Amino acid sequence: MDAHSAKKANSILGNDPNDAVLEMSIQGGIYRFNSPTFVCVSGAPMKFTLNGIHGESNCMIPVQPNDEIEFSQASEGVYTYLAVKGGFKSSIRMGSRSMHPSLFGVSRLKEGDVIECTPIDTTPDKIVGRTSDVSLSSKMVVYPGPEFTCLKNPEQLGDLSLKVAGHNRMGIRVLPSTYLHRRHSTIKSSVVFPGIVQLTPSGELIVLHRDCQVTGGYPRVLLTDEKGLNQIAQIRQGSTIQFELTDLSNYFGE
Amino acid sequence: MGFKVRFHRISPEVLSIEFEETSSAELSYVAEQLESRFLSIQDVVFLNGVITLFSTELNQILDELSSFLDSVDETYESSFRTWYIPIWYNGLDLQFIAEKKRLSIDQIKQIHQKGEYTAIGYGFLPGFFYASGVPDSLDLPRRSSPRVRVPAQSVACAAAQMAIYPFETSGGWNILGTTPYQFFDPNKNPPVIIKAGDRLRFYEIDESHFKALQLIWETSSEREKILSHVC
Repeated sequence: MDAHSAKKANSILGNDPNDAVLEMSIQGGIYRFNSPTFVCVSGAPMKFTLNGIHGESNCMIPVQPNDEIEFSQASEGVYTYLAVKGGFKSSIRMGSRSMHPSLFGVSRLKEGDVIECTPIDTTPDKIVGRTSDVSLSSKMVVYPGPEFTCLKNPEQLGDLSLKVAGHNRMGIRVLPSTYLHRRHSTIKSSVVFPGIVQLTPSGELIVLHRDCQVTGGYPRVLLTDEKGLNQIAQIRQGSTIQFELTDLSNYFGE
Repeated sequence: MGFKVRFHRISPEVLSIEFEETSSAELSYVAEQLESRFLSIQDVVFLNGVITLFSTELNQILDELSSFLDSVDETYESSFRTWYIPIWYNGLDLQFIAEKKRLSIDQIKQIHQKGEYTAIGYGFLPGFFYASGVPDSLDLPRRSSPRVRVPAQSVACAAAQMAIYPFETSGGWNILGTTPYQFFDPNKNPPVIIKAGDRLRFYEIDESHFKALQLIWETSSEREKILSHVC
């Protein structure tokens, strides 16, 4: 969900940016290692210990067989990542290691599950130092979407305090404090992708996220970019966010 | 030769191409051609007269795309199948549809079973295909707010389209009932057996028949065979 943090953990370990990581949503867990490797924790701040000793995020940590990492809960934000050197070698379906429930039947780990990773017992040559923590800013840049004209008074969008009302991997629902429709409309089912913001007839905005559908019928009034997606992923349900409407040419870098 | 098209750039990496008067089967054919011709295209989605391309190298291929679409051969061969799909009319929205359309539930069942629907493209979720042909007498817009949970294999309609939800998910369509069969298998290639242009017809089964067919389905090692009997 917060691809920036996941990629950061991979980069600190010298991994491919798209290597599989373990994503924890607010709640942590206990993980025992069966082989030596190096790990890195990134994303939403979450206290953790390695064999009972407090660990640091955003740095490379060596682990040995039978070592245990125990995570508590995220103190703020939503998604925390655990990366291992070389990436987790979970099974691949349709070209992806993503645990989408439609492909694997389950989308979360349970006690006793074992995930493969490549044993590494030599210190990697290049150790990348610590980098900055995840941004938990509540201001998110949005651009006009294909059905932008369905939005009423878009110039006032920046003044609205939007409440995050629902949070899952498909999309994040935000409730406006005012009526946003210029006119009631649904469109012919059209393509959508992570970053599209839909406006439902009941007036909710849905920021489509990483596991979103590929087509949808609610007007696609706004659009956010990769940075916006990473940012809103870390906003907790019940918190508020503000949209900053920007011209689409800024997205295209023109 | 060639198609009349309009380009809509949605984001730096997303381009929608709107086709004039093109059937879903033609669109499916062009989408396949584009995917095999342009290796930098990461994904293609086609639906309702629009093909959308995802590529990090869109700027580099725009000119070539235009000339390809001007010259693409429109003649192709295809054959379509008709699928007869069992449905148990237990949908959460049957009563709602009945009230909105001033019909009895029996009338809804009859109208739905009389119809022949045409698969027009994939979308929404893995294994989800859209079908056209919903009669006006059953047609309603999407729900004003999507349901958080729509049961797997729900047969639903909205905005003049029909679909079968491949697994439990959130969704905003009006649910008529459930079919015991799954039309999506990620271990198969292609993972969806129904293709654009295929026809769908529905026939009613009751709860006990549904449960029997579901049991056969779940315990069968020859699901493909069952599906081919559906046809």
